[in-house]
Amino acid sequence: MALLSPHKVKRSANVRHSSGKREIKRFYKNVTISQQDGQFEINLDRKRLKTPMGKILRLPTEGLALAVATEWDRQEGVLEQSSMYLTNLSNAATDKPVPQSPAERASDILEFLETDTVRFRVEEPAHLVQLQALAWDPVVKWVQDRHQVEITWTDSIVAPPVAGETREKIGRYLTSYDSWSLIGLQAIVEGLKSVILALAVVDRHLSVETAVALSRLEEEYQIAQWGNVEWAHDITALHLRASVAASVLFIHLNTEVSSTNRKSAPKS
Amino acid sequence: MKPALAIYRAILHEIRLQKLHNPIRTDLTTYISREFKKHTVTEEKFCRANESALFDAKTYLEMLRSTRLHRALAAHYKGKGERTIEESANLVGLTSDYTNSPKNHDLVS
Repeated sequence: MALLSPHKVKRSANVRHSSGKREIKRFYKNVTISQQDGQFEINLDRKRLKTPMGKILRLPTEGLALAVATEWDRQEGVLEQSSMYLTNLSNAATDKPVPQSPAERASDILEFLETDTVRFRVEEPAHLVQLQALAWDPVVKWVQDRHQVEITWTDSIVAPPVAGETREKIGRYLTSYDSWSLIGLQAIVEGLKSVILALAVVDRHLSVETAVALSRLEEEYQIAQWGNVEWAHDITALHLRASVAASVLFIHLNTEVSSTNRKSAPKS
Repeated sequence: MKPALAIYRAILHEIRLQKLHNPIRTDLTTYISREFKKHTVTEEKFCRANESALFDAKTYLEMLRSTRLHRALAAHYKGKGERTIEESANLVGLTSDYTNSPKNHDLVS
């Protein structure tokens, strides 16, 4: 191989960085959606959008298809795949790179309940203890009422066990979701680091903004005490808000009812 | 201003900022308008389907807005990135010819 001095390194359209990541530029002009057998496909110019594993991406609803298409159409120059949240979720749901049955996914989510953020409180400082109680107690109560389960928490580092009945009831609730929705749910739980907050946000009890704030309670407290670092804190928080919002939307768009429910005619 | 209307306008604003092309831009705005109309014409003061739809709209707005702000911040604070292998090697006076043969290990660039 010829000796290369750094000055002679060519910067081409598809640059391979030392990390090995390829930068792809927008290679298509038009983005359209089309319908085939009740499913929706995305077209980039004449070619149908495929998943990383080469399967044609088929979306169950128009809403989801439009949102995915929008992620592709808004790209300018280099494709920013990390911010194409719905595309990434749809790809994961289609390819299932981690092959799990819905029961296995539900079980994974249930496991997370053991180390749920909201079940671990600090012992001090007193102000933070109060803040956690004020912020988290209502959500815990809501989950208990909604699912008729008991949720315990601790201020030690030892995880309090999850009651068998709790496990059973929430497990059953989770398996009522289809595999696509469960992938969305897994993403929410992993992002928020909490099953309890995930349950609340999916049921539309908490807004995404609130759920993220509750998830990041201790960080936000520390930031308030010690100062904010915009390029770290804000970027992390915004990314979490975007990705959780996308995951919540993914679940709801997956199960949207497309028919209009007509009310009965008003009596004259 | 009714909350639904405020959300609707905010979503349209976010979409405009995305600089989309047709047909997607039109299809998307048509879809959103249709959904909003479907869920704001009701005689009932409280309707669960409408509440749900409003929540979904807020969530969509949250996604669009947070994505935009995140990308803007990340671009603003974007560093030079990692050095290439050539640059790293050059730091210590080595050439970038990194095949394993000893005769290629020059100590002077």
